[in-house]
Amino acid sequence: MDTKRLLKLINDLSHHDSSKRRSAASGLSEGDERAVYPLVKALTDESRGVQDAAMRSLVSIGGEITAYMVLPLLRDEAALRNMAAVILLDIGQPAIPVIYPLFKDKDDDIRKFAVDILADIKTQVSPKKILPLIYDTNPNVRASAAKAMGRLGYKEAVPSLLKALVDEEWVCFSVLEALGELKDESSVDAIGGLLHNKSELLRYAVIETLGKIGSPTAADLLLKHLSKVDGLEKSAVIKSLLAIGVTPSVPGISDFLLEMFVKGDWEDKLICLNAMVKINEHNAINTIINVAGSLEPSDPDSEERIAAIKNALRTFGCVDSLIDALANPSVKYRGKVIAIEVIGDLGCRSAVRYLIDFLDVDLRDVRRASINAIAKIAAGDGEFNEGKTDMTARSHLLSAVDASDSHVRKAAVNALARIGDKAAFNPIFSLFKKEKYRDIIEDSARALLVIDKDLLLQQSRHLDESLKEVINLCLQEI
Amino acid sequence: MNFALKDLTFKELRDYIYDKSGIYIPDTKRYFIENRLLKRIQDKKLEGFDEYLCFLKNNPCREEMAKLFDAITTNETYFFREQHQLDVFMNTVVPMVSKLKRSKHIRVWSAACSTGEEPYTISMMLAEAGIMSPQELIGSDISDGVLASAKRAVYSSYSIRNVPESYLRKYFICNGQVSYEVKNEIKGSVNFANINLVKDGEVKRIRSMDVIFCRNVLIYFDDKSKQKAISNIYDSLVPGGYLFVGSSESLHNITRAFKPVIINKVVIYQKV
Amino acid sequence: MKILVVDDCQTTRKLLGIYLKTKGYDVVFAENGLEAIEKLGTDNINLVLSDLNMPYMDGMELVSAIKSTHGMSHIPVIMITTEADPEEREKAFAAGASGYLIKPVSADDISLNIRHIIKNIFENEGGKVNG
Repeated sequence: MDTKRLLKLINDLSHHDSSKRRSAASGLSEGDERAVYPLVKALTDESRGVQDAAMRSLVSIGGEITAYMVLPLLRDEAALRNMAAVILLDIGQPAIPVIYPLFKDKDDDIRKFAVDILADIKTQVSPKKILPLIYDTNPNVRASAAKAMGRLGYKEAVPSLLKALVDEEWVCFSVLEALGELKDESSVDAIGGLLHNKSELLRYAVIETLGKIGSPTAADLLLKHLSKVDGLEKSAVIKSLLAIGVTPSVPGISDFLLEMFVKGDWEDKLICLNAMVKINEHNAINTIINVAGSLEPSDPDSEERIAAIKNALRTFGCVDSLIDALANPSVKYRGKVIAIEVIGDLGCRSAVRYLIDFLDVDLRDVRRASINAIAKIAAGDGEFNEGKTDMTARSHLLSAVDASDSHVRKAAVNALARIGDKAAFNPIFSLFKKEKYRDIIEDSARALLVIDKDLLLQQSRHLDESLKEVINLCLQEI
Repeated sequence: MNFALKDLTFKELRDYIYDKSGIYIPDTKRYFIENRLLKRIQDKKLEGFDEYLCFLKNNPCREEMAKLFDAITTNETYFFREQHQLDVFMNTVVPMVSKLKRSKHIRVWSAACSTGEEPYTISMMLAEAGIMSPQELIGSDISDGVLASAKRAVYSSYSIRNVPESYLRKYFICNGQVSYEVKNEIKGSVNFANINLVKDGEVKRIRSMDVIFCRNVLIYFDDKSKQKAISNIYDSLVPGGYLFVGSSESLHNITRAFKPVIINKVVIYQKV
Repeated sequence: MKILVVDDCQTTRKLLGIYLKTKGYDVVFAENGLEAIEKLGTDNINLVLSDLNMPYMDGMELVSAIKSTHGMSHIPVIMITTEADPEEREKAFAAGASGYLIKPVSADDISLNIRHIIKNIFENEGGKVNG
């Protein structure tokens, strides 16, 4: 940026119109070190829009000098302190060398800030330099340093962390968090020693940490502890055991799993899902389907989650609870679609009667999923079909060729082509003559060629030129 | 055919998409990209992800890029989505804005409008309240494919399932229960444009908006793109203007520029 | 009684959450002042326990926002921070905080403070806090 423009923008930072000031602050993102001080001043602008733009521009100019000039703000009032922390964190690696010297600051909060920011920057930060701070005079600094060891994945810190387990409750909690993240099996015995600590907080933390480490010794300790506790602590132990992959056989475990599956976050849900599959908990199928159906479709994570749930449902196989879900009014339509897709994958023939009914419902997705499932079952594609076709499903494919939903027609035609059913020739041929959608016309031609090429060529003489052309095109493909 | 997505290909595809759209696909959403792009590969009859990447790079035409954006960003939406937010918009925000401006001429932008359900819903609600014109309504998206559908304004029974009966009669032409077309008076009230929210130059075309809807879009961006998009949107609003994001979204770790305002348990962000 | 714990550090949120749950309170969380305002507007919260240093909106800004927002101003806020500086404490009370605790704290410190504040509210204003 040339000096003239830079000076103009710096000047505009004092304009009376806040949108001018904001646009100047944004423009200075392409400036150099000369813009840093004016931008730092703009962090106290009365408009939060200007503050925000100044923050972003300081990050964008970045570099060690910007970081250095922002440091004094850490001693300023709360809002500025926190803006400075965000700027240093977002500047990232170039800020690291200017932050280390703060470890020797006499202000406890500055030392804590320094450790927290570095733990967030992560890349290129030296955990070795932070480690000594787990012996700091201030407990908040010690807790932050311990957490940093976990966040930075510094296994060499384990012996020091184990020694720090005798620190006061507040610090010890962070030490346990770090040990849980480092997952070092050799630390299990020392951690387990705290299972009977008089601090309720620490007992919870120990239970969770053992679950995270997940070694057989950790599981043994938790199983032994399970019989000695009740209430919330018992739930915590069960949760940790499930996280390790151990489903304890205690009374009421089914209800526990179901409740945790419904109320827990996604990580909890996955843990429960695996456990429920393992103990073959058919009673959970309706709930599992409903949870899958309730996932927000516009969330990109949902696709993978639904895939995980479908996978679990497939493991249960063609069980009654899965088929019954189709007729269950408590299962919402998105859940039904998922159940139908699983049924298709599995090839559950006993579900065909429900699927046929679904071909006439108002809900487009249910209709389309049903025709696809019927097609798979009719063609014998499902896991449980062993290649055997299903005659009921097949006869319904024939009538679906006439459906009002174009997707249903298309799926039916394609499935019949795969099966190569001679009886399908006439219905598909009459569709071919009247269909309005080009892709379905082409699919019909392909299907007819597969089912009976000679018959099609013989009958095509009476067709319109445009349809003859489609047949010729499809012939060339073959 | 090799439909496995290799690490290197995934990273290259991700960078390409990020570069062109600001949409970031973290490792945890790898499955999502695999699932969405497989269809493109099959449609183009290509051999796999590697070939698709080559195809994209060697044919930087808008057509395939538009299809790629469609594949990644298209999610089915519907009329009257998140009704509680729309109620707050109509019952509280519109009167506040009109009072402040001393005019019923309010300007609304539906950023990332997909196939048009949101801007048309807004138009219908305004029409119903007698604020038909001369308000300005803009619908934008990054994908030409969905914008073309938006302009056609023909919808399935799925899209219209939340439309109140009276609206259905008044503002739609029903084609034998199969499809529903929005009437011309509503169609004509929305201007559509292709705008990439992270590109300053493109967002600059839209200024002085009173209300912006940017719902269920931020989930596609990484923090940096979110900051960019929200900063651009801030600049498109008039001082005192309002921003709606999806009810499961929040700006709390993106910016301190907006003031959160809560009306009937709906969080709205005001440019102060 | 439902308490909102506001802290940018996940470990601290978890720790305070366990403290409060073992004392029988319902707990919800927010990671900074902005998220806290959103939670306060959409959930029925009786008391806020907030850190001071947080990105995007700090604890001091949060107290001011709560005290100046219609429908929220009656909700008591206890600051819980590493800042031992008496000046910060004064600022917090001037902004409208009802309590100021310095980390580290124990479960008993917190619940004593909460009970004390609730008692004061009932005595002074006839009480708006439920549960």
